[in-house]
This record gives sequence, C-alpha cells and structure tokens, in this order.
Amino acid sequence: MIGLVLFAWVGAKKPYWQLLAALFMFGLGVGAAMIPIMVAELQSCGTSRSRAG
Amino acid sequence: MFDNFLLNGSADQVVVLAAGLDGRAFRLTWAAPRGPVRGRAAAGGVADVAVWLPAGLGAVLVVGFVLRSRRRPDPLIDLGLFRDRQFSVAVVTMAQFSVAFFGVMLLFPTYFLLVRGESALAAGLLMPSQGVGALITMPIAGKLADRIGAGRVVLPGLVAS
Repeated sequence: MIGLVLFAWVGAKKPYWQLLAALFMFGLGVGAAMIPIMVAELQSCGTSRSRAG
Repeated sequence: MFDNFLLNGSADQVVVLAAGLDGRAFRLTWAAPRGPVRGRAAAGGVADVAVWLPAGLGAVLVVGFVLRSRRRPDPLIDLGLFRDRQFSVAVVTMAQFSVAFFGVMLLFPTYFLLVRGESALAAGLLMPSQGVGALITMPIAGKLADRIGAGRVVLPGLVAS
C-alpha cells in the first residue's frame, strides 16, 4: 500500500530516483507478503500429508 | 518422473484442467479493440455466443475436473487439502494477492510508456528496482515466517507494498 501510494504520488513529472524508490518499496512489500503466504501453504500441505500417513 | 506422471493416467486430467482454464475461454468477455472474434464479442457483450459459449464450456470442464478428481485414487490435485483451513485461507489469499500484484505489473510499463513518455528501454530499466526490493525481503520474510508465523509477516508486507 505504501509503495503504491508513493508511486501514485510521484506522478509523471517527478525525477527518476523517486520513481525507483517507490517501486523499490513496492518490491519490498511484495517479497515480504508473497513468501509467508507460500510458507503457510507448504506448512499446511506437510501437516495434511503427515496426518494422512 | 514426468513419464510416470503420464503413465499413471494423469494426462487426461491435465488436458481437462488446461482446457477448462484456457484463457481464451474467459478473456473474450473483455472489450478489445482488434481481432475479428474479440471485436465481435466486445460488440455483443456477454450475450454474444462467442463470449458465453467458450466461457460456459470452460466452467463445465473445471467442474468436471473437480468431480472426477474426487473419485480418482490418483488425482492431479489433491482436493482433500482444502479441508485444511490454513491451506484454504493461504490459497485464497495468494489468489487475491496474485490478482492485485500481476494486475499492477501490467500497468507499470504501460504507465511508463504512455504517461511518462519513456522509451521501451527506459521502461524496462525502471522495472528491476521492485525485483531488487523483493530480492532483499524474500529470504528475511521466509525466516521470519518460520519463526513467528506467516500471519504476522504477511500484513506488514501488504501494507509496505
């Protein structure tokens, strides 16, 4: 949300470094959100399989 | 491994699922300026046979895949996994996240090209910064998720993105 808000705030006239910073922030958030979701999926897969034997 | 996969009789399941999820069955509902079929579909809306027929066939195939998978001893996708609440919530969250993330990923280069007037090279050079950001947080988030639980890491990540 912060990355996208920054990106929207940068607009069309602002310098490159601000645009890159907004995208970098977006990337930080994406990385932090995507992997834990996958971890949760894999953990529950492992639990289900171990239950099934 | 792939040979075993096909010999085990899963190939038919792959074909049915792939046909059911074929993008052509669903994208026709979107208005498109070019192309004989898509243009016609866009003009007629969802009532046009070129829209509802492939979309309906796709939906029927997906339902057929689910029903068949529940009866087979070696299903392509083990649907019993969805009985686990944590797994179901994670899959739904991932699906919603993908819709939002990949939707934005499509818009970024278009924005660079059309609004900022960048060249294709400049637009391409601007994109990796988010990949670098993700590269930094992915291993950290993985370790944190193992240590304190995924739920406590996902929310700050979504807020940051």
